[in-house]
Amino acid sequence: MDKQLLSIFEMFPNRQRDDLIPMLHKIQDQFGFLSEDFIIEVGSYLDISVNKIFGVATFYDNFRFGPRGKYHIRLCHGTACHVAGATTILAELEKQLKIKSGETDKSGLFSLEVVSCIGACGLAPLIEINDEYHTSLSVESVKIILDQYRENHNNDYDE
Amino acid sequence: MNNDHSQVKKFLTDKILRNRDRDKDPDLMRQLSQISGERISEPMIYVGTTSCALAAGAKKTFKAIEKYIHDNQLNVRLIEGGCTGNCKAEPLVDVQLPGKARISFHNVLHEMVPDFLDEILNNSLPEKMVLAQYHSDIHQLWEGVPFVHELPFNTGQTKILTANCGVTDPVSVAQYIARGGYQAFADTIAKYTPADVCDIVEKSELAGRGGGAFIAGKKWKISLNAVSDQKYFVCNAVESDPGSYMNRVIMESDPHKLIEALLIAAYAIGASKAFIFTRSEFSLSIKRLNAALKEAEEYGITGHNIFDSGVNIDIVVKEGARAFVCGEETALNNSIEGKRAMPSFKPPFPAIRGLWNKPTIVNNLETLINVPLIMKNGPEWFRGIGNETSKGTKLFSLSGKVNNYGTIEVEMGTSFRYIVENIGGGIKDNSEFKAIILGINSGSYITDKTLDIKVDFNELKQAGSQLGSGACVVVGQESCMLDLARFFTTFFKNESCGKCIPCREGTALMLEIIEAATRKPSKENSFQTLERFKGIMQLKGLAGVMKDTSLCSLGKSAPNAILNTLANFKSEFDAHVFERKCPAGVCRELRTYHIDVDMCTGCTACYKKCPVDAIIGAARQPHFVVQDKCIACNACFEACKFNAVIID
Amino acid sequence: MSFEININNTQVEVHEGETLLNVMRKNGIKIPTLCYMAGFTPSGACRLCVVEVEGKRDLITSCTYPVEEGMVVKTNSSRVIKARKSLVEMLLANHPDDCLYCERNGNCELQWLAEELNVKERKYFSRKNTDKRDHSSPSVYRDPAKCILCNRCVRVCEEVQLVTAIEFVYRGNKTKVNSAFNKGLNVSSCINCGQCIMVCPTGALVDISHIERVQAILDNPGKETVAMLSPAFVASIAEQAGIKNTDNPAGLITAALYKIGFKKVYDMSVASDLNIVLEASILKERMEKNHSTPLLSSCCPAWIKYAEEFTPDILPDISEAKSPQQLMGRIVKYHLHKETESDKLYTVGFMPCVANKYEASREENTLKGISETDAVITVREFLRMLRSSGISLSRMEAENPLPPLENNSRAGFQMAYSGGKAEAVAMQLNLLLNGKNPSGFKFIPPKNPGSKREVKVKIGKHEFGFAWVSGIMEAQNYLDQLKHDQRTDIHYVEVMACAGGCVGGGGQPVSYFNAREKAKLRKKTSQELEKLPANTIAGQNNDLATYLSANEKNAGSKSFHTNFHQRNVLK
Repeated sequence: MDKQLLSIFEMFPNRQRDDLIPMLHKIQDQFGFLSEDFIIEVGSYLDISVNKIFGVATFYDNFRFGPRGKYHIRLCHGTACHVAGATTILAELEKQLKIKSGETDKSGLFSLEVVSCIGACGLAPLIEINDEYHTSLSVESVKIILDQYRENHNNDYDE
Repeated sequence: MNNDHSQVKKFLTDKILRNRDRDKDPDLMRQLSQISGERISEPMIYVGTTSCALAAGAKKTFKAIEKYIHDNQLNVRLIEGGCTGNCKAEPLVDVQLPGKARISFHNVLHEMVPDFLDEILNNSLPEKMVLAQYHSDIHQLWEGVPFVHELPFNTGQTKILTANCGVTDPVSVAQYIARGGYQAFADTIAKYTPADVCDIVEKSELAGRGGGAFIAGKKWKISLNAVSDQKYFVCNAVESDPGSYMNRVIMESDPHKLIEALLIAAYAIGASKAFIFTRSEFSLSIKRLNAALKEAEEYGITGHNIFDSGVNIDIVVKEGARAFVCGEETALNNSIEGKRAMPSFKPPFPAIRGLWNKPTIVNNLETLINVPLIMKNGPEWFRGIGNETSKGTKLFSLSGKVNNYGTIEVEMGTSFRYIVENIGGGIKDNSEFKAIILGINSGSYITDKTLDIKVDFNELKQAGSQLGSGACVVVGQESCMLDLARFFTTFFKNESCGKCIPCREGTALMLEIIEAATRKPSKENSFQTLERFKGIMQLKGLAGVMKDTSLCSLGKSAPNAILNTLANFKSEFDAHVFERKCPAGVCRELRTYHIDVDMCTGCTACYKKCPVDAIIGAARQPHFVVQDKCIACNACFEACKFNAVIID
Repeated sequence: MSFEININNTQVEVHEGETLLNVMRKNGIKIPTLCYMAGFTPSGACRLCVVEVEGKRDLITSCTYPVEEGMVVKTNSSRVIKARKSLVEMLLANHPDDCLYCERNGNCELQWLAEELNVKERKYFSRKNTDKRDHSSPSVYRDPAKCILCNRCVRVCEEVQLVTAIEFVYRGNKTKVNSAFNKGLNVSSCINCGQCIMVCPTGALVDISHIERVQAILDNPGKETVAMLSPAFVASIAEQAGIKNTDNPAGLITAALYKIGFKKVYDMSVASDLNIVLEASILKERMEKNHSTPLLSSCCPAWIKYAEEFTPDILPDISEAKSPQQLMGRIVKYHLHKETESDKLYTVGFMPCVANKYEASREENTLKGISETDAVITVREFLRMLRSSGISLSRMEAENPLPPLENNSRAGFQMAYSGGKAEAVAMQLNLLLNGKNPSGFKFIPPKNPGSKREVKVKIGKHEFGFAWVSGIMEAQNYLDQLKHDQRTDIHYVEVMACAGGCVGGGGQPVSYFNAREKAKLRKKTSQELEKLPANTIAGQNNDLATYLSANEKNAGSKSFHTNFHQRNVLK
């Protein structure tokens, strides 16, 4: 078994049902998403049916079953952001990245996720890219921000 | 602080927490003010680094200050702090120089840091950045600088619950105790029985802030009187209503307040285990809560046999995994148990059969943090705040089209007009007030007709609204209410747990009805036209059944947004349905595009951009939009350099 | 404590703690339900059982609400009826609406509700469900588009069968019943028992039908279709069609099958006898070797799959005798006919079970790539075949199944219900150990069905313990308890995956609201039919004895035995 996975399991010595969601959180934090193999391992460790775990994991928006992009974009779509035009920003992001919310683009560079509220309503509309906030967005600034990230990526590649 | 850590700990536990006569010794107070950071011997810089501040760039500011201190080898205390609620001023930096009053600076961006610190650390004021100073009797005040409590944003507020927010080091248990914290808890377990605590809280008339406005003390008594070997207390800090973030601010800025409240509450019902259930996105809240819990445990405030009283209380922070329905108490319990967060039927209520079928009280965070204050100052004091029918204060997350935004705390009985016009500083961007949205979960609006309504459970109920989650989003005339209703209904459709038929199917059907009203007219066939009218006619009946039969409050309140739009903004509704126009111009599919023949130069820019060949016309001839083909993508409008494209 | 409440202007005496629904059903007031399951904790999901209670703002669900003193309840006010009707209309908004082509046409709870509540038009328009169908399983076919998410299948699978092959996945409007990673049932832990089919209110869960393939073969002149009638199947048909046991139901069915076009019809009873004989000899052997653990029966394929997946360590304790269906297929294909003809033969088992469809496809049950049983027709499917052929069983002239194996004993009918097989094995063991004409042997099951399903019998000098369990949960609990108590006094445990045995099997007609009563009636019919054969003990079947001695070479070999192995599935 994967050593990192094993060390996550060791954090939950009691093997109880209520360890399930925290454990899935830890796995996703570590690996970026929940793979089938990991879910099966969790099932046999906690002695919970894999079908049940899949049912739990799919209930919550937080869990992903495919890898994220190098840059994970989270668009806030709370009430304040909606009023400030988050729908237009989302449309622009989808147009620019050619992916829908919840998807990762083919090159694996960007993935897009709509979240209900980040809680920085005063700065709406905003996106968060890998813990970096970009606030008070407009259609134009989205383009510029994405281009910056693409450039950063190319620089990484050149180095 | 000159004393080392263990001495401070010994002093605070023995001389303060375990000492019932602490208030009689003035010398103790002096010592406390040193621990609390009011009296300092070295300069202190305090950077608000809560989530909203981080979004505004506080992390970079903090790093820049850290670097400055390091580069100049200064002896300065730098603190990652909480939030005063004044989001507009972020990143906010407080500086306290020995002997001088603490002073706040607004919008300190990282590139400004070196110049800013050069000035202030040399006792001169960077005037453009000054926000306000804190009043002090023991320190020298800055000349010509307004006081914090005199700021227009703050004057109308009653800061009881948020008193510590943005002032103390959030994680430090020593500072919290030095500012009067954990004393209420220490006294409570020494002086009162659990039944006494329930009585006192009931007498204070503290009502649940989660929506039901149930008297907290009454609820607690149900669990207290239930016979069981194990009971649980759960703090509901899920706060998944978009637009509300007061709980987050409390957890990030004053986590010990919540811990103390939960300890008293758990003691009151005889629970030895308590949970704080919050969202996984609130990573900073979780980090600070866990850090604070660790410090509290070190002081022997939580855990086994607290202060030798025989009381055992463990507190565990539980992360949700993003599902709005977790705000419902039975769903929340299921989520803690590691299941799909689908609500269970009531009765039996969780107070009798909750987590793992044991008596469990679930209280909202905001309700809970009132408890230490009530225990400290007495129920009469609490009843003195607020008005006849609603007691205490209420937190709001004020955002939207107002000049000042952030977390605010107002006395019950304050009018919404006062909140918008005075605290919020009026409507920004030359817009006009249209409505306040009081959280998605209530689906209530305050309109210009009801703006004088007070923050009061009864008054709001009579007006057909609810206090809701505490979100307070102000919208101006440029917003379309039908668009908002659609946004809310989409939210409910996505967040419905899927268990009961009325909520699962009803929300989806309601959304389809609304979408039919905002769909492009030219794409509609006669059958769909009929469907659109039929849908609107069925809307009320559908909403009625959903309210009547849904399993939990999510389904019961899902139709509110639409019903309230119908009640308050009928003309806007009618314009969409009958005239097929969006008065605010928000609903894109109802826009029509025309080309002004006189303005058009025939440059073919729009013709080339149109993705669906809806524009016809030859070069140097005026162009024309074929309405049937147009998908209202706005490409032609963006392409036209001559303002010839007109949106209707 | 008891008190009175008022229901529809009538005072009714109730007991504290009862739910409103129970009270109303007791008093003959019909309340529609979709998610309610008798014997389970209510879930309160479907909301159809809502009633109006004075003083309550909203309608309340009667299945979850306990009675309160002085309650004034209205079960059929216009508010209630309107709400129920709306709920059904909401369900229908995205329903595929293909009732005419639906397996459950005419026997669908949603259809009944729509009729009862006077739904006359599609009130709400929504996109019809177009979910991917799952026909990966050899036994169970899922059409999620027709699923109304009542949760009954999920609960039966988890709480009664301990399998949890299906679960709610995703949330809200996107909620579906599916197995992990949305993979088919074939890779899930499904044991093919078909209990989910029995509780499904709509056509979302049905069996994988073999009617079409059987009919195609019937038309094929190069194939010889052979029907094999299980006694449990005969009893179920007799009960369903109202044929008296004295009217020779097996004969009538045989005649009908010839009319339908089968070339040969055999009675499977002889295979049941053989199965009993084999298990009794295995038991005898184990006794001689002093095995401390009991022998477990092997005739239920769903139970076998469960054991292979979840408790592989007990596999060595399961009898290696093939099940009657496979024994019969083997006898027909390789003993009654020349082996060279075996690919021309098409054997069809007539069973009350959908797991037999899966069993027929197991690799262990093939010989040189040719399966012993080619298709399985359930009771439901046969009744449909009768209807489509326009055949009325009662108008048939009984024909006897084909020799040389028409003779049978009680054992076949005993195997239809839980506890019967244990008795049959005990009697056979007695015959084995005490020789011919044993007298004074008594196998008396405990009268109170709630007590332990165990019987101790004295055979020769030894006392033997026989036990029987049905339903996987009961089986698992019993076996766990045996192990926990380290008991050595139980020597044989009959295990059936469906509650009540094959009379409650997944291939029986679906009648959710009286499923238990129906199963009891089938058991009664089986017990009536049991009285007919002259032989009471499997080993006394002369045809079997003749056959075995004629095929001594085959009988001695492993052709009547099978083997089991651990299975790794998504569980």
